[in-house]
Amino acid sequence: MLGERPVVRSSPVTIVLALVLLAGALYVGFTPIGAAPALGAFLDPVHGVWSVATRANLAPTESHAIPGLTAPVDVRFDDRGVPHIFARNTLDAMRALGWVHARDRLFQMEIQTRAVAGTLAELVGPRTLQLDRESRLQGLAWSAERNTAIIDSTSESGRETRAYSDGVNTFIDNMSAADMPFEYHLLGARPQRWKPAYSAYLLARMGLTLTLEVSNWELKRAQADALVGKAATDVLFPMNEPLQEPIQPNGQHGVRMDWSTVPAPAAPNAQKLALSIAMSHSLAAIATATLPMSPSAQQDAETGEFAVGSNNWAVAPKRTAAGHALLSGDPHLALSMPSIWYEAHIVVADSLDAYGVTLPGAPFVAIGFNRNVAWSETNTGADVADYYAETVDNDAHPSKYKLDGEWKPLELRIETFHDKKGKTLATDTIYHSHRGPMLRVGKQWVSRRWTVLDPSDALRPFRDLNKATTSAELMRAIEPYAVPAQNFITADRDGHIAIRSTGHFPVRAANANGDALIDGSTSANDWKGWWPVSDYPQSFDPAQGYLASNNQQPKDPKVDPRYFGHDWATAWRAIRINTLLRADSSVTPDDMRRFQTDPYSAQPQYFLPFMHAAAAAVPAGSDSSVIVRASKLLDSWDGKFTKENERAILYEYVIDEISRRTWDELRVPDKSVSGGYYMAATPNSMILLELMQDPKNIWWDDRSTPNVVEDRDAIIRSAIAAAYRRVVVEHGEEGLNWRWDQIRHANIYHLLRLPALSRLNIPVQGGSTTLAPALAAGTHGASWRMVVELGTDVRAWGTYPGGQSGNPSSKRYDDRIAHWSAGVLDTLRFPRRPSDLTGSMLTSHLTLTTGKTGR
Amino acid sequence: MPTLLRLILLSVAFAIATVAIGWWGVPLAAALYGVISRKQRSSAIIAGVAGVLAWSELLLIDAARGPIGVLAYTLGGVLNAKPIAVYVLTLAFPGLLALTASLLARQAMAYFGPEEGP
Repeated sequence: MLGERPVVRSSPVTIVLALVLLAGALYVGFTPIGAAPALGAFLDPVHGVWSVATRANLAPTESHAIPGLTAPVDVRFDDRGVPHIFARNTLDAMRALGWVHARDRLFQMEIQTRAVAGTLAELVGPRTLQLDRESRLQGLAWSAERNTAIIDSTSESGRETRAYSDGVNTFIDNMSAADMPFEYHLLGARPQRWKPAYSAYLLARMGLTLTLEVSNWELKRAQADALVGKAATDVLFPMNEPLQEPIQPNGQHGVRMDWSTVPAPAAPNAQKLALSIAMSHSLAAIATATLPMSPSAQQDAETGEFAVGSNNWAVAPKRTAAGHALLSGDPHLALSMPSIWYEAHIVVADSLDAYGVTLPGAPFVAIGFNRNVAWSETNTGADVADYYAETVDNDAHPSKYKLDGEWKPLELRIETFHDKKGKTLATDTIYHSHRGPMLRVGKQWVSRRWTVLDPSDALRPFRDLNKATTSAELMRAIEPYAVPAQNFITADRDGHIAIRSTGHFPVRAANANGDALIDGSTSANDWKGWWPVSDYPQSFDPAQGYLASNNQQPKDPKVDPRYFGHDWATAWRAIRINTLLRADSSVTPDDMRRFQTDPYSAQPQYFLPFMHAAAAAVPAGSDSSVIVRASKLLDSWDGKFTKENERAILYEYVIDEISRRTWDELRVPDKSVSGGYYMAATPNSMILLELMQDPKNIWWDDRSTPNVVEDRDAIIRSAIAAAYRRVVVEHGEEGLNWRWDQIRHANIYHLLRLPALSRLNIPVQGGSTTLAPALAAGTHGASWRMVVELGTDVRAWGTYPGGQSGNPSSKRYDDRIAHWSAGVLDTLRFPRRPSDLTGSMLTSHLTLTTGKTGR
Repeated sequence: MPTLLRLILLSVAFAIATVAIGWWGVPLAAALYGVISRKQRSSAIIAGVAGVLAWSELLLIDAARGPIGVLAYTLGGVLNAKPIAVYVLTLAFPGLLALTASLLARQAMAYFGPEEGP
């Protein structure tokens, strides 16, 4: 202003101060520091993490374009956030499914894919390098890429997978900062584009989780063999379980018991032990707790019980109240936020009308129903992986391996690992024999032959079963299904029910069960082919009027003694559901729902009498009053694992303490772990029950008391006293703190293990051997619960632990957990046409249009 | 121009700059303001307050479109801080950027620019 003197005087000190502060603010604004993202882009209310909140809830109406659509697709989200996709043809439906998967679960899709590909370090930094190296060694992505390349790209499944991929990429290419999932903002990253092969990655990862890492039985057996000898190992870790309630009905009307005597333990073999431990460590490294579908904590170390306890069962019309077939799907997996499943309904006029849960990243309904048929799966657990000791020309850098007296060239795979900025972190060379990738175990090279790495069109059976119109047609559709082997159960509107353990089961060389390291120098030891489908464990419309599977041994060895595997869950769940179904000849959908969270276990009725008898004979001594008190509490227990129960914890701890004392011969000393040892392997509770029949067996002796030889009852009494004291120490004196809901919880961790995004300490009903198994870690549980009634109109109910949205600020992020925890199922809406979803049933109407991209 | 009006207009300008080019639009616009208002003693403070106001306005718009309270709670959990701390950090950041950029521009103009006579 003319005539006005400048009021501001320059000051070097002020300039420097302002410069430093501004430079500092700009630095943290532009530069990620440690694991923290660059602050500017992160905090920006328009383009940063805050904007994610603006996409938390579904808009009442939306319209987006997807290139390649041949006609508009009508997507209606119901009041549970489930998209009902109405398309003119299947390819359009898959594009739409890819788009909605990406919108709701993009980060989950990418991190699961990267976990398989071994490229997590490119997203989250070098801390996952070791995990990436192990993942690449497994060869899952390598085989998935190879499989995708050989699948006929003009086949229907090939085209549908590409259409799905196009849908995902359309979303990625056009998304705004607000559309980008929360986790990307947190990591300062952007999503990678989707490739059709990634769908195969996810199935390969399922294969890893469900065929190899459920219990690593062979490796455990190898360690047990080294510690207590083969004779004892064969009984402690048997091919055939002593309690038989198989998937394929065996004509019995109850459990069949087949007891053996457990031979005395032999002296440990240090050399064998070192080799088996090295093998175990090589494979264990991939088992990370930070990833989805994680196998960690799948088995309780002390009791040997599986945390992954999937169930399915079907009831024929003659045993249901309404005269319609009923089906229950209850798959159990590692729990995660977001959930492994995403509910969807896909409708294509005259060809597809499937509702159920999909895997974000894969274009089909995995477990669900259509207008005529319902289906569900549990894991079979057959032995589909063998290890071969290979002879190589150079131990450090092999290029050939010996087979049938000749040197054969090894296939080399070079794997390079990068960080977020593309900098190379490491390079590995992976060697393959004709059997598969090789691991170096101590001084021995070992190759793994594994069905999961074999070429197969994994998506085709699912797309075909989604369209099946009868149970028989569904069973035909899944005949080519290879991995991971699953117990497919089905029921249809005509009243048929069927079950079959389906997958590729290897025909091995004579006398080779794949239960030990195999000599790899001769091709005579290679697999000879696959079992014919007609030999698979299966049953169609059995006279008993119901079918069930619970990961137990599928066939009674008295019916078919051939080797099929060994990695079976204990039969407690199978015994329980078969008992329930035998006892109820007018089953209702609500009975099916109640069975899914049934509070009883079959196990206590076998063990409690032994506990009672041992306690009744307690000699006078320092522990007698504790034992008598604890025994009274056990006697007054109603056998339920309900949330309010105050006795269940004592029973669980007694079983745990008996197991801990009995199997002390299987401890491997290790000063690096708490307690100074870890369990090489723990025989399951059915084996413990087997040992119960032999009260003087030397296995009862506690090696920590060298001057005393304990028998069964002494160990039981000791365990009862220890269990009581343990409950008191951990949970206080008898009272409300002993309530089951104070003790056993589900812990649903976010994929990045961030507590703020996880949902922890959720009370659950069920013990370690109930139909809904709940172990102490709480990291596994029912991943989807579904009941379907195949009446004139199909009716269905279901829920899963989580919510449809991957956005943590959305009410749909965790809105289903309360019902899941309470064992309540939601009514699933199954509209025939878009106009059936209106009013309060409709949350959002999305129209996907043809034409160029753009929002 | 009354200070209050200047503050409001400036905050709207910063908000528009953020929408248009991102978070660094704030220091850019503030520096420009520092040059323009180099003769006003309190211009840097006004810029700093306008920076806070600008992102408050943008957060309010977000809040009208989605549950930012839930997001703040989640973010607080992730950052091991109380939700209010997340808001404070978010608003302090543009405030600091605007204040320092404006101050620096004004001081630089005074230091390097032509001296104005009476």
